[in-house]
Amino acid sequence: MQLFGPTFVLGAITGLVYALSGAGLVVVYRSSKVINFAHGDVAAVGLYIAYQLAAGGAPYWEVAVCTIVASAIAGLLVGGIFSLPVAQRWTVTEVGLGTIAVSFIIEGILTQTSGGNARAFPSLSNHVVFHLAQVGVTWTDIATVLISLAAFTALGLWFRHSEVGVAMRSVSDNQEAAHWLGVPATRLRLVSWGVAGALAGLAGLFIAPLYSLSPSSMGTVVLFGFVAVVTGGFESIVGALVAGLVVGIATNLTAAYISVSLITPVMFLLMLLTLVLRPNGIFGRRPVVRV
Amino acid sequence: MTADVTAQPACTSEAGPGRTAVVRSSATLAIRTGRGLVLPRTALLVLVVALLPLLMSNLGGYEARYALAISGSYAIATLGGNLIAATARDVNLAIGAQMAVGAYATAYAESHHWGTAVAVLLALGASTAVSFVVSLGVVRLREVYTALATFALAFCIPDLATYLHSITGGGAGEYLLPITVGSTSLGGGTLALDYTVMILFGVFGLAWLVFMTTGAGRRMLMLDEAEPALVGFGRSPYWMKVRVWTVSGLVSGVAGLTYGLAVGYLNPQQFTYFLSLQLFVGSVVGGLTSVIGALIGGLLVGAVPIYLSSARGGVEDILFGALLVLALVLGKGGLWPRIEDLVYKVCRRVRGAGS
Repeated sequence: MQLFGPTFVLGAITGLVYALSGAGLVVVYRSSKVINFAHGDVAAVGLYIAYQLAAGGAPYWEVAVCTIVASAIAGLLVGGIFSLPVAQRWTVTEVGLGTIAVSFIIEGILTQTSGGNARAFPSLSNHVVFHLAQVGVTWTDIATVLISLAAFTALGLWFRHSEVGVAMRSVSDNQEAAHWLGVPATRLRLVSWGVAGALAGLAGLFIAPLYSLSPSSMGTVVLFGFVAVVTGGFESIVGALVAGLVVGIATNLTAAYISVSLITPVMFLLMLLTLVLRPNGIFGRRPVVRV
Repeated sequence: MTADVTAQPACTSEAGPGRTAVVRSSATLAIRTGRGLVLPRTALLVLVVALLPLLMSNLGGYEARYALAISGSYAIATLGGNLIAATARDVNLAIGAQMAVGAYATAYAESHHWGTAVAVLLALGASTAVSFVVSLGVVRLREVYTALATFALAFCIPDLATYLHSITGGGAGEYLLPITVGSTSLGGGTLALDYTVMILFGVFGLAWLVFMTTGAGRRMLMLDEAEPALVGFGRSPYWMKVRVWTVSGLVSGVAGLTYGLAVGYLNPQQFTYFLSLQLFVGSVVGGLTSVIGALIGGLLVGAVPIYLSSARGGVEDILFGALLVLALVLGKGGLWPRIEDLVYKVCRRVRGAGS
């Protein structure tokens, strides 16, 4: 039982990052109905660009801002150049598969330009501020919790109360009605790809110092993000948050009590069980069909 | 209902004008859906196309023979994936995971000196059983959700292989010595393995084509195109899909077996999600629902990394990404169905000019 407290606390902190990664997937799905397999690669682009700044001795806040902005631009480019132009002609599955192709291309370009070796990415601070359940909580951990919760609150308010957020939901729910009401669907979708890119970059900022930075290292984060949104529901920001926490805690408990090698198989089982028992996720809405 | 899969294409039909029109339209539909064109000449084509790489490996050196054994194994695995795409229209991103089961089962039997027959049976049995169990959950899903679930499966296979180190050898890996059939040794770089792989591909490909001409085969095609009708006839789409996935697992298990023999050493990092994604890309490029498309896809996935090994890292990723985009842009189910379509059009035009 001695292991439970620290494992739980660390799992919750990691889970918030997974939730953040999942939130980006939800934002794109809510506006475009696309499952973006290139989400992690978008973060990797931002991280690699920011890494150049960090290597040049830039302060952390500059590195952080650069990561988020560069990832947002990368997200905009993936959405604007690839996903949105083909969305009218391709099925949702084909667009999803297309993002796998984009993921391949981005990883290839990053490997070509950087050599593909893993690099140490800077973190905010490893100074221990206080102890919680025998875990030394650092400034990085505190920032992870506060920024993640702030991001989720902002996203929730944005989707529920802002004009752009509500319009984005209307585009997803009824594209034709949104069109006749003069909602600029394409522009809104583009915004969602940019926001998702920024969220991917933010999650990457917290993950890269732990996993180190390589062209494919963000793939793991995206897998956990996928598990979080599948479990929570592809339509639900709250679902992504709760499920992200569950995934984070479950992965850490699996590693502590069973085996590190069983983390991904346990996640697969969790994902499959959710898909089979509740295809729309625990917090997802069942589509309403007129009969 | 789908195309009449036993129909002869218009350019070879000897029937009257009414019959010809029906045959022509059904043959066109068969080409457009990328399935069901089952003719003696199609079967012959499969054999010829499967034998062509053998000729190249005969002419080439060790590298060509090694590349063919791996490419042929990938082609067999892709065939298993295509079987799912052609009937259930599901996207299987875990073909590499299914292969891993067959490969590790063979290695396990060999390491215990259980003999060739037991090794083969264990590989087939294990891959079939695992695919059956996985399919019980996966076939309940649709479209991109199936892709997600199978992607997660492909992702977790290396970790699972590491965890089951008493069976798989874990991170240290497991050697797989060539098996001997009679006095012939089947190992990587041998012509005997190349022949075995390509014959297996031909047998599976022809079995698929012949099966699609039977009543059971047509019912399988109805899975995608007329599922409500299938239910109306008292058939269970769920169990039919489970059957398709199970057979696909068996085919991929055979691919795992031959792949293991070709490389001679198994390691969890050989079966990452990347392999499954590459096999899927090969399948989409070659033809997602076609036998010859599977061969094209397998050759692409097997040969490209070997011949690009001297190129700087990342080229392979860019190439596969670009090919997938190209295949999706071109549509119509990949390269081979487009070639079939073109040949059919030319054939019809020639016949029209002749009459």
